[in-house]
Amino acid sequence: MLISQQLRPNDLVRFRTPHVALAPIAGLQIGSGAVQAGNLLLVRCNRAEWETAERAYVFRDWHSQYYEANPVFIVREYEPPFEADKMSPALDDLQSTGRRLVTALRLLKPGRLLEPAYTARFVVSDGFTVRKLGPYRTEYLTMPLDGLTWVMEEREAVVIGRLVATIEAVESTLDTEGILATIEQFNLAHTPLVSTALSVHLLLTAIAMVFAEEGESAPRPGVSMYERSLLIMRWASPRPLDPAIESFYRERVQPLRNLVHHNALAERDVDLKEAQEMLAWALRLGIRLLLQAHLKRSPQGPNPRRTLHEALDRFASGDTSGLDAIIGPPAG
Amino acid sequence: MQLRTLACLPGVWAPPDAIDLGGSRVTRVTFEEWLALEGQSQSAVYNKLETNYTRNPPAFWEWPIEIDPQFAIRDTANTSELSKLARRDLDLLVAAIHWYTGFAPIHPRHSVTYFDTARTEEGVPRVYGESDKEYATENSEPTIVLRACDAGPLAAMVSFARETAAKWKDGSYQHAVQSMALTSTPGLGWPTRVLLLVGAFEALLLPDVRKGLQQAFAERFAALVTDDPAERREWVSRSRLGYMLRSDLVHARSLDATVAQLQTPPEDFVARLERAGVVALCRLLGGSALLHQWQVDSTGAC
Repeated sequence: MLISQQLRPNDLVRFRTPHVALAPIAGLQIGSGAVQAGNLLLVRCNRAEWETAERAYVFRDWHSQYYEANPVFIVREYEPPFEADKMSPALDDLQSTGRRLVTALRLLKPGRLLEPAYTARFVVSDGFTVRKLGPYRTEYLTMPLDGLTWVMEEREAVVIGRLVATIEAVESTLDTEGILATIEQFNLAHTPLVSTALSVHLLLTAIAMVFAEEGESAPRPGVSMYERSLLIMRWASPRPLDPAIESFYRERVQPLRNLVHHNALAERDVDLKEAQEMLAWALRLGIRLLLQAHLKRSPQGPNPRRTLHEALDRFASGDTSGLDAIIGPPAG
Repeated sequence: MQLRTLACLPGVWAPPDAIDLGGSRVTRVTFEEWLALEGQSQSAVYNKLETNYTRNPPAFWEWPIEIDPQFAIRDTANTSELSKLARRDLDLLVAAIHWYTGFAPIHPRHSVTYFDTARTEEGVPRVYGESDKEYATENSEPTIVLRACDAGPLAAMVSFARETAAKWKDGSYQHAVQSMALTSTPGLGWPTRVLLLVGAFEALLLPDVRKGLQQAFAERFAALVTDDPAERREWVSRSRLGYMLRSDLVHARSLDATVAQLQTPPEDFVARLERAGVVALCRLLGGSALLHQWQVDSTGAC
């Protein structure tokens, strides 16, 4: 009998099969016991389920706080026969699925999250457990306790499922190295591996990768990459933008970029946290639209970034048709 | 007084005989010794770990830290102070392993560090990082393998890291060092790694350049990688291609034309560029006269 069941007899292991893969999404919190987001099953595993997968010493050290942390796991159930050679692919699947899910969550709204590659992945099969653990292996337990969370509303599950599917589809499309590298820059900027200054650098590079014209490294008269960043936020915002955002993109972002690119950041008093938030906001919108544009790209059609830029440039004069076409249903 | 300190090195494999780094060593610790450090005796929970520990022994860095005797008293505040002292040395070792092997290790601060002072049944004072004692109990897939023959060069690199620490811990280099270390993050695609690598060097190499960035980057990077004129020409070409890959990605151009010129799979090309990047960084840190020449004006706008 599991220790958890001695502590709480109602904690039953509810998995349908004895072959289960689990990966915590550090920071993610859900209101109910389980959520289906597209083809992903996200479960607030009870302590007994967690105990079947985790190391004994981690269980011993953390079990009393487990229900305070309430971690959420991606759960994959595998039908028998589940031979030993399926363990490694199951762990790889958790890594890529977890990465896509965390990307989708970060693209949806701000919050604190960490991919399973940095924390933990488990495959439990007939009582035999394989674990892949990262440098932040206990963060899925500590982050919620420290208030570092991303809270999923029930109504967001559908959007998240779609976003995960979109990312997966773009990953399997040719000629998408640019958008995928942009997403990796965006994700790296959100990990504890990087300093705030480097995070801002990564986000500035990602802004250029989404909004800059070909050959544009600095703003030009007309619609610059920073003007496009503002346009996309205006389009998405039901209210006029906060003047602080306008002034950041109009007056402060270019000097900030120069400081970063010329290694002079340390010499100036810059609010890097604010810069992070401002840059990430435009990127969340830009990357999502760019993913859509990639999916809708026809073989002879324009570069998806060109499509996005043209749509934003049209929006500058009040025409939303280009942006509507990107977010609308696929032709045919 | 000197305090024996042991830090678990995540993902590092060391041979049975310790690697002497002159004043410190990379070593193994027997399971019994590790239990004593942890303040554990044989128990159901810990017995489970023994087979794995013995089969895939973790590597530890053992070194003395100079402390005020009062810090040797077991106390939470003292352990915190010891941790700060150890962290400085650990940063040096991490940099040295990265620059020597070309691969950035996981920082031991994420694992466990033991301060071998007053041993009690609770073990020794210690600090755990976010991975708890995981890397001490599981080392079946090391990413860095150290052998006896690495002792001399690695010790020299630790000295180099120590001598140049004031420079690379400074803002201008800190950024580049961190960016280069990120390229070792598992699972990153080569496009992201080339962005990180070129990004790491742009600010260091081109503070005075406003036009012809690609050519200036290629020439300066190559000048740091090698002194041999023929090799340098090859490196100018390679560095230029690296910069072109970065520009293609940033400006949403197809990568096909540039990738076709690499003469090697992009993954291999970027890995080679990363290794050269470590050489270039070390030569810059070592005080290359080229740097002064390039940093005539580092304040202008683009």
